[in-house]
Amino acid sequence: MYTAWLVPLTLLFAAATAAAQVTVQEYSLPSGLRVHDVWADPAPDGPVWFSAQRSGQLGRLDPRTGKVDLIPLGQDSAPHGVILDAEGSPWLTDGGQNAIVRVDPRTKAVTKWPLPQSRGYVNLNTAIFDRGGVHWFTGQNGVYGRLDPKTGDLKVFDAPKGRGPYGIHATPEGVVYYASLAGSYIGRIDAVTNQATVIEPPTPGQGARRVWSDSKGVVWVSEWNSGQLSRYDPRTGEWRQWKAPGARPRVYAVYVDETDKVWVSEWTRQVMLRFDPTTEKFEAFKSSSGTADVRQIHGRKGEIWTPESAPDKIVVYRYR
Amino acid sequence: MPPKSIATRSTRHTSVLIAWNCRRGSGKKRSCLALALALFVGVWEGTAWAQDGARIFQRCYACHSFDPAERGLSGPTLRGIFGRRAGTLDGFDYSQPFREAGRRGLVWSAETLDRFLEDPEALVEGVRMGGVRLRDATERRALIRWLQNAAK
Repeated sequence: MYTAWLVPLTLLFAAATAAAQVTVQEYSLPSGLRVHDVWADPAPDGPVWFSAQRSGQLGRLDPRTGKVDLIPLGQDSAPHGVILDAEGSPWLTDGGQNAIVRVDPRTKAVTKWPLPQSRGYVNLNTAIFDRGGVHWFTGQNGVYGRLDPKTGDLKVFDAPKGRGPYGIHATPEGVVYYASLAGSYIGRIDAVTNQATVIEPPTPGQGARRVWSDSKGVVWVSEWNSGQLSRYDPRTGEWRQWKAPGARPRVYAVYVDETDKVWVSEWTRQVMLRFDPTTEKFEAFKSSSGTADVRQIHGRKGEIWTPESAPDKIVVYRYR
Repeated sequence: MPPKSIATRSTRHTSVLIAWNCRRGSGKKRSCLALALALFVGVWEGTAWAQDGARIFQRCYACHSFDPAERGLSGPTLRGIFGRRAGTLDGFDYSQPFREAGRRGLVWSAETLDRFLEDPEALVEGVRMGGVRLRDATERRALIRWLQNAAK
């Protein structure tokens, strides 16, 4: 536990002009953790969980007090992603241990599902639960897979076009999509056949990094190489793209809030961008960090939570 | 998938051939067998290094390749890395910490690579792959030895 720095910095300030209704609050973490992903419990004021990749830990932030608890995951642990299941238990895609890891939030007991040795090292990246409670994951070395928590059945599949599978998300209907950074495509997984179908964005070599579905099942994609936010509508097959503002933008993470506005992290200007699909305009927000390196975004009603991996902070953007 | 290790089949055949000739009695049987044994051990060890190195390289494979023409990966090609100043490969969009490390004189060698792989953050503060560490010294040695061939 780290109590000395747990009092949140509470750098509460209004962002500019039209963003006056957005406030920013920053929580400093112990240095050297290299926070990677976050996942906010859906309950208001509920805990925010995070993966600490360099230290091999799961973190739990209490937003009301700023108190941080760290749970070690194992000797070689280097977790990339963290998500919550329906019961509120954190699950991590632990690249260091080449295993899916679950932590009991009450007892802090750590349970591991190592990937089959025959698969070698897959560089586990990110995961999501579908509507049936199946845990789907990506491995950046060129795989995707599924774990049924009820039976422990774990299957790994070769991804089309080899290395690259990165962010993954499920639509409200339960359809799972993932993005392939090196493959520059998004994949749709058929949960019955376990087959992935390649869906190519219009921009060649765009570097699709993460995906997130809105409330209607429309898929939003953050494109690292092209610096675009793109949208794929599965009902029509139509794609649209919007370049992030600024010179040579790099768009890393994407998240859609409960009002269907789209948030992305942009690394050249080191800003958070909110995109309104109705007006097709971006608004920029910034924390006090010069370099934030936000690698993932999550949220709950009225709040956007971001892991700032460079300064080891968690920053929340609150909006009305 | 990642490249497989390169088997030294011809050298192994040579070792077997020497041992066979020794059995036929060439007049220097003892030294002949010693030579065959040394060669076999060397080949076996070399093959083990190569296999381990190729296996450990899977930890790097998602972001790095040996093909300079391959674009779209998060990390630069490792072709020709030994002797290269950090953050200076033409055409790759390095982060500021790497460029600064290069300006300060960081050049990739077996020694600097070993320090970097153990804890990237400790050698290049603020590096974007700072969360990825190869803590086992034996694994680092195997990987670097393998890279010295694979990255040529």
